[in-house]
Amino acid sequence: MSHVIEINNLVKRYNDLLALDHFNLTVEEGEILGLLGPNGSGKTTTINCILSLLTYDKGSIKVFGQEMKPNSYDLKKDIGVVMQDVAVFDELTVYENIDYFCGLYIKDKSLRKQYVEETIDFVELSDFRKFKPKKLSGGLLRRLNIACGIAHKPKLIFFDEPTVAVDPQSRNKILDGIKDLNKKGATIIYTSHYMEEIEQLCSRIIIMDKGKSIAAGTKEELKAMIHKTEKIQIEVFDLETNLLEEIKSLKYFENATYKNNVLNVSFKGGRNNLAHVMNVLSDHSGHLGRIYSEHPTLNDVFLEITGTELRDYA
Amino acid sequence: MQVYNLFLKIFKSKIGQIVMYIVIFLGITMLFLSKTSNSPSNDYKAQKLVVSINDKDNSLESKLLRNYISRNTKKYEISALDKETIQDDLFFRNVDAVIIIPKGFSKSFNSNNITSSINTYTLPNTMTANLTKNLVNKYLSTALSYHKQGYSSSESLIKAEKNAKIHGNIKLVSKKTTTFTMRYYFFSYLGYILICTCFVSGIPILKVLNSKKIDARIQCSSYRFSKKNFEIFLGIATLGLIVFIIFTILSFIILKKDVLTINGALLFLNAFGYIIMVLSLVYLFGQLVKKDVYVSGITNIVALCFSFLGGIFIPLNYLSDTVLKIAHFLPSYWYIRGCEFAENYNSGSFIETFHYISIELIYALVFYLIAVTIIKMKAKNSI
Amino acid sequence: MFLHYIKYCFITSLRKKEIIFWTLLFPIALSTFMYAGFGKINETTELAKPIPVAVIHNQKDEFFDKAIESISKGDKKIITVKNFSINNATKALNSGKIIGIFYVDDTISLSVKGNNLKETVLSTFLDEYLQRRDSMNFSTVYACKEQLKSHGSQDNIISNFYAILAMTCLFSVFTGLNQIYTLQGNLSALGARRSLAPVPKSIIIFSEFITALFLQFIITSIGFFYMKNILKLNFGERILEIFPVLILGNACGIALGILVGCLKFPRTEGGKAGLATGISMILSVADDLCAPSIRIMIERNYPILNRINPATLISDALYSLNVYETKTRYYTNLTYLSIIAIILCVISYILTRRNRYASL
Repeated sequence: MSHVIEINNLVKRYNDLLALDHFNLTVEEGEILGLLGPNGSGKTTTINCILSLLTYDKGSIKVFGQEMKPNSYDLKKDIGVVMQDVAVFDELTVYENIDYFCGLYIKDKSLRKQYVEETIDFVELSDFRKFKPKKLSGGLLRRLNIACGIAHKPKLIFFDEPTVAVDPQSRNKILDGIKDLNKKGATIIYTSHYMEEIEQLCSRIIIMDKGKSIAAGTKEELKAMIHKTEKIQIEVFDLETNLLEEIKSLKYFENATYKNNVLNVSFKGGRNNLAHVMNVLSDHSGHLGRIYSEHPTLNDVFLEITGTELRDYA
Repeated sequence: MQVYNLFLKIFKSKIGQIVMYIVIFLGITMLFLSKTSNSPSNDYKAQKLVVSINDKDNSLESKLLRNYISRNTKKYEISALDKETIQDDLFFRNVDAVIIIPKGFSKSFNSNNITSSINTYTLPNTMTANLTKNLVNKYLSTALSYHKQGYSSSESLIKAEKNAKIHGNIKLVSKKTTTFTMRYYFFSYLGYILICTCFVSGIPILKVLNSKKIDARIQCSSYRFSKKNFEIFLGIATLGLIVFIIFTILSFIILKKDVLTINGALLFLNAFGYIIMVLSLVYLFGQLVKKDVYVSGITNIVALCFSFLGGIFIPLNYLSDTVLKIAHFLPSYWYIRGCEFAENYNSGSFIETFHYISIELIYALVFYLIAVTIIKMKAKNSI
Repeated sequence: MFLHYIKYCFITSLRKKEIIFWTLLFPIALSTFMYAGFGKINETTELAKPIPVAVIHNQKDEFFDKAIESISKGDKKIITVKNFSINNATKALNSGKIIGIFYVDDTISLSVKGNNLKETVLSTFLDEYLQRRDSMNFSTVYACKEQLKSHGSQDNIISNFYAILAMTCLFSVFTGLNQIYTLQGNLSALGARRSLAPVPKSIIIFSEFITALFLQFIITSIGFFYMKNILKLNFGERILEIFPVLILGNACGIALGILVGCLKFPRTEGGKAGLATGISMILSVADDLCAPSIRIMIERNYPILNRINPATLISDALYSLNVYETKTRYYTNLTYLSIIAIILCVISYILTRRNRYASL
């Protein structure tokens, strides 16, 4: 079985700027691949190259095992794209927009009608069928944008930052929808600079920076790559020293301090460390205050590899 | 002065468009510079036809005829004698008639048979066609009658020319100005350009200030309603003043000392009344227009309507009776009447100018009241 | 499939109100104002119609009465005599009800208010009367032979409306520009999305062009029929031949719009719209729109410019249909117009065919 997408040594320059620097990527069928990286790291450029909207300087791109060209119409048929910018006709209604874009792919009229209806239900826009895009709120507009990209039931779907400027409620709906599409068999490529979204959604993640892939794997694998520890902070009043000793003897323990009624414990690896600590503290007679547990995030991964914070760019 | 400052800031961004309209205005006025002539004389002079003559006979007789025609008409050199060129020049009124004296004219004249001996090209059913033919026919008839009486051909043609110099006594009862000075053209076109400049700059500003969100935000602030309105009023007044000053300066540059006369002063007063009307109209449309894209459309329609029907582009005496009746309802008509009066004013009372200005001001008031009514209706609907 | 694109292109185009305004309502409004302003100007200033005069007899003059009678009767009468007393006649002259007053005394004198054509006709009549009395020759020989058969309308006011029609055709640039914006991947997200569809781009371009052409042709034709049937302007007898001119004019306009849309500079949509408006207005003004006799000036000095200005070619084709008996010049204009349309279409096709961009 060949890969859905296979990119080898892709190089793309914008004048002096090296946008993609010998970039490699493979996408397997059925996965949700997340491309994470700060703005300008080359995520959208990669997608546009795959879609052969952009010319590139070096390298090869294969989609479904074939080379992708502007006139690879049989390949394009199975691809759906949801662009970063809303790309719909202001003059057409919600229904007409979806029907138009679906019509670019599906020739059969009755099938198209069915698909359009299904899509409208899927993105929950049935109450807004006759609305023109200008009358839709930000979240609804994004959902229309998505509907236009997926109405033809593609096997491979690109989502390029589909949740920019979307309210949390709509965002969750969108993310659930994407999971749903994946369950129905679509391979998905999702770009974002929100690591929470990527963590929540993607089965595999590629972290990009300056046109290069700097790390790849599941989120657990990525986090395992770094030496970051789990930090637990608990407000404890009058901690008995024997309990502190007991905590120090826990597995994966790294360090512990107790000052001003605040206990700081750090662990290196392991799971359920907090539960273990709480277990020990259950013998404590005094009150417990606030409890914090801090796991390493993808930001920490990014920070450790590049030395800069992911958020600095955004 | 927050609202006022906002007004000025948006105005600044519209300066490019104002400059564009000023350039158009200068272009139009320059175009008409050539059309203007000196003030008309008090003596009657018949209009001379513009005629192109081509003499293919080249005889003594044809030469006399040619001289006669060219003495009584204005000469026009036609580029070629093919039918299409002649038709072109006739159609575009470069020439009133083309007269061709064919070979053999002297022969026909000497044999006393000159019927249809001259070829003419004229526009059918026009006065110029009749006048041209009349000029030639009468001259040759007279010459022929002398010839029949026994004079030689050249003698009879010369006698006929002498005869043609007899003119009746014609009195010009009152000077009807058909030509205007540059100053008049400048001020009448001002009627067009003031609408364009004030509209393209003023309406978008009011549209922004009236847009729901900004209006709501200003209302929510501690800004007093009356203060906001006063500053909008001040803004519109500033806009009008800036535009007026620009054109005042331009008038001095173009017309020089012609402005520094009593006529010039009256024209300025008249224009001042007109710009107040225009600003009031800007205020009205500022309440109505919802999108920027409609501004240029409305500007053009209003400006062209006022100009074509109100006598700005076409002198009032050329307008048909029906159009004139409609024109009475347009402020531009009264402005032009005011301009005509001011331009022709010699001595005596100039109260008539104030007559026209007050009509313009009444229009301003009407437009303002309509705007206020709209604002009130909008306020009612939004509650 | 093809119908799918055409259907939606039609719907989107019809809902673009600004474009409908500039291509349909603006020309109609402009032609209405022009018509109201000077549509009939030549009828009153040029055409030979009976001129109202008054004759005041202070004494009898049979010769003069006869002369007056001879030009105030028949179907080609030159004057109509109105009966006025002296006072009323002066008033009527001042208000413009009559053009002149003949006073019959020992000599005949004429009072007029201006020196335009009508007054000239009257003064020429008086001169002729006096000259004939002097020479005692009362016969008239018709020496002039008219070479022009009346054909079509000779009213040159119509050329203003030719220019408006030409402008309407060129205003199709807005449609072309708008379409290219939604078609090119590097101009809008919408264009990018459409570039991704599994449909050859040439098919989309072609269907959009055909729809735009059809729509613009309908719009221009509405403008034309408005002028012809509502304003009752005389476009001559050859009406059918006008439509090919309009279609080619629209094609030029749309292709020009596409061309402007593909230019690297100006970059913004507003800038491009400005450039498109500028070009179409300059071409229209060079075709005498609102600025008489520029076209003739160009024809005298740089005739080549008139051969490559689509507006002038449109006007000239309509003019030659109306005025000339032969169609040679009409066909010449049509040929030039076709060549320009084809060149513009080919260039715009080459520019739009590209699907991959160096940057988006």
